[in-house]
Amino acid sequence: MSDMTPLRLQQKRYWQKTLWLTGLLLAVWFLVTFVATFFSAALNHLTFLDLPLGYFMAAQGSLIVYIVLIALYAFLMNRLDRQFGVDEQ
Amino acid sequence: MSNRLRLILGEYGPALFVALFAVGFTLTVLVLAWLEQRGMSQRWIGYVFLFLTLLVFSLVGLFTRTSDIAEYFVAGRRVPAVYSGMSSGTDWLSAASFIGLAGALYQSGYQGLAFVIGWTGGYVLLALLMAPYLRKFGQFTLPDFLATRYGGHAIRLIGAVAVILASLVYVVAQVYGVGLITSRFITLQFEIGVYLGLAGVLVCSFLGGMRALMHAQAAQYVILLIAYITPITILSFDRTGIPAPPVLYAKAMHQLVDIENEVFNRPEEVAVRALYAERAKRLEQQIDNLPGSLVEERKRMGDQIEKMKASGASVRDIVLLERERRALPATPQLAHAKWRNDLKDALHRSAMPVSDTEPFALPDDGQSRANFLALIFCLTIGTASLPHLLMRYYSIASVSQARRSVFWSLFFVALVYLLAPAYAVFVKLEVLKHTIGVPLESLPAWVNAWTKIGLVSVDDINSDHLLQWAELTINPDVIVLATPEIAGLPYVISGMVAAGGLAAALSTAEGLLLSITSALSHDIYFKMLRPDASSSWRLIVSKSVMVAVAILAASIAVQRPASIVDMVAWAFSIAGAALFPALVLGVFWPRANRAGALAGMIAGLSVTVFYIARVKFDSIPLLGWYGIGMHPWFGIDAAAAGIYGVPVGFVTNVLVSLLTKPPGPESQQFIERLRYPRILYNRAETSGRAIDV
Repeated sequence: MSDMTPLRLQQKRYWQKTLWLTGLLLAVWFLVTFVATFFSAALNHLTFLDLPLGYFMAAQGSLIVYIVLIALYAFLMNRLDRQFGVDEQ
Repeated sequence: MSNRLRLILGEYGPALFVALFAVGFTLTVLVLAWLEQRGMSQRWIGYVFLFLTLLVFSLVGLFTRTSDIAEYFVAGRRVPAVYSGMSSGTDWLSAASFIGLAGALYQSGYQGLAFVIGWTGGYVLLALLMAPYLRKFGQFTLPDFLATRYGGHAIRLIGAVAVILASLVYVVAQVYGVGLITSRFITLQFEIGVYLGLAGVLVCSFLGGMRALMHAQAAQYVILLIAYITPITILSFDRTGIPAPPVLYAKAMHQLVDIENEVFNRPEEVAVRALYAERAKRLEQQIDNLPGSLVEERKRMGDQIEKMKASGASVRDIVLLERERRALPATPQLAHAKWRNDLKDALHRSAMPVSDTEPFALPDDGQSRANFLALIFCLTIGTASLPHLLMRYYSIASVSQARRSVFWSLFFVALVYLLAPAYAVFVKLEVLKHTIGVPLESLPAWVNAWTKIGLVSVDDINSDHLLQWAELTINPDVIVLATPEIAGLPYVISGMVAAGGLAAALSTAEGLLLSITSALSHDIYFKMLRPDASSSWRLIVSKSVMVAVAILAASIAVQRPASIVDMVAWAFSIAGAALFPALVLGVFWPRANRAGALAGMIAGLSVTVFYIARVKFDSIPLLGWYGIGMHPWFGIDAAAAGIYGVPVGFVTNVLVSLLTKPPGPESQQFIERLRYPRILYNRAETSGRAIDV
């Protein structure tokens, strides 16, 4: 296991970066999906676009965050592929 | 599209197709609107829209028919991201999204938002954990993936069973939606409508498989989006002067909260709620005193009828009471089931309605915070493991296209979802303004039209011949379909919404049928029973299996087992509990092995099905089971059964994997192939072999 070929090393680095990105985005996802929802009643004391914030987050806010998360993932992963010179186009 | 057309149009073919279709559809609607003014009957408008929707399916099926296996199951694996995003978005937008979502928000306010969060939040899991890896794997079905990762026929079989079960429950909900629409808009019998709708689906998938599905669904998306946006935009413009409902429904929301506060506190509303509370108490006693109470009830009604006859009461009242007596349940078991439902209903009506924006308002009614979060959990996990959705990622041109495709898919889905809260708010406002406190004789026409098919009911419990909020029941599945009528728009808009609902239900039904079919014909028949079958024979088998499954789904749907949203939620729990742990661990945890995956899938699936069956149904007359109902664990609804099933699946998978020996080198190699881009992997193949541990 100790001595890795450059290729092995490259594979490992690629996978670790993928995992980091996935983990980071999932953490944001978890915050929006479960934590914000858990405190929804409290968030309702604030308003956004003239709507109670807790309601807005559940109805539309989280949806918009999800779209951004997925766009980020696609963008960053495709960039990672290019960095490693492995993009498939 | 034929090959010659593809040559001429090149990459712009799909975009041109969608644009042309949008223009054509809009023109058709305008022509019909003109004809309506000239006196075309409502019934004929309904027919035109129904057949138009079916025609699109059939024509696309006809033009894209194929007898090539790869074309049939994965559309030749060369679909570009935007186009496949649009069509898998349509695949996703089911009757539950189109018809059910706004209804759920209307009925339960904040509580219904669990569906919005869950259904869209699941896309993040899908994008991060599933889509790229499935595309990298690139076979035909989900069980293919499981069988290759873990090895063996057993896992393929369990996978196929889970796929079939989840998709079947889901497809029944779609078919039910089709029946609902046809029975209202072209006044066909519910049952006939169900079969007619299925016939349309079959023509398309029968001929063209996944390739036809891609094109048909892109066309369906156009119908669906126009149909969903138009009525609510007109309504919002008419009532508030702002034609942008998704962003600016706040004004209407404030109005709604004010009116609600005023209406719900009227003395007659309070009195009606008290009457329902009394009814609930009476029902409780009756249930406790079964079977004696049933005999007593029958006798009491008999006496009352005699008394009325003697005192010369109106014939109408006597007939009504006699009908009620005939409707009494025949056996104590049936009475138990029926009265338990009545009790739930009475309790619900006797409670003070809550404001739309208030979260977790009625903990006793299954509206606790725990329930809400549990439902979100099940829906997200389910979204990321629904076979008909995951299958789509096999058909995309490359891994990076697959990542983009998830984005487009959620984008197209979001266009519809962002409007749903506005629907609920505006419709509730209209209902409160124009039906509550109105004499029963002069209720708006839509109340009658929908009462006729049993989806709206008025129960004048205090006999004041005025409608109170608690006396009105609207099946949530009606809200979107009835919006044009409630808003007083021309009938052609109603027809258009119906066409949109049909498009949503049919396109999803089709995707589901294809996933069931491929599980049966590809996994069970071809891979397990007859590996030597020729490819033309395999297609014949899939096509006949598809017809059989469609008929089965229709015959379950005509029994009307539950509301659309309920059935859909079950499908998510089932798919999530059975498939999600095995799929995710399969990619991210190399130590997971065959025994673990098998045990985890079986455990997750059984816990979920057990929970749904026992919490939701007190009796299953078909199987002769009575009194199997149980109290939910920690008050979690049957809809969120996956909150128990998914963790059980994960824990079992991990424990059993650790207790048995690690998987062999084949699955290590398989995981590497999934994780690294092809070039990195191929280099490893040739140069890295030597250092493989």
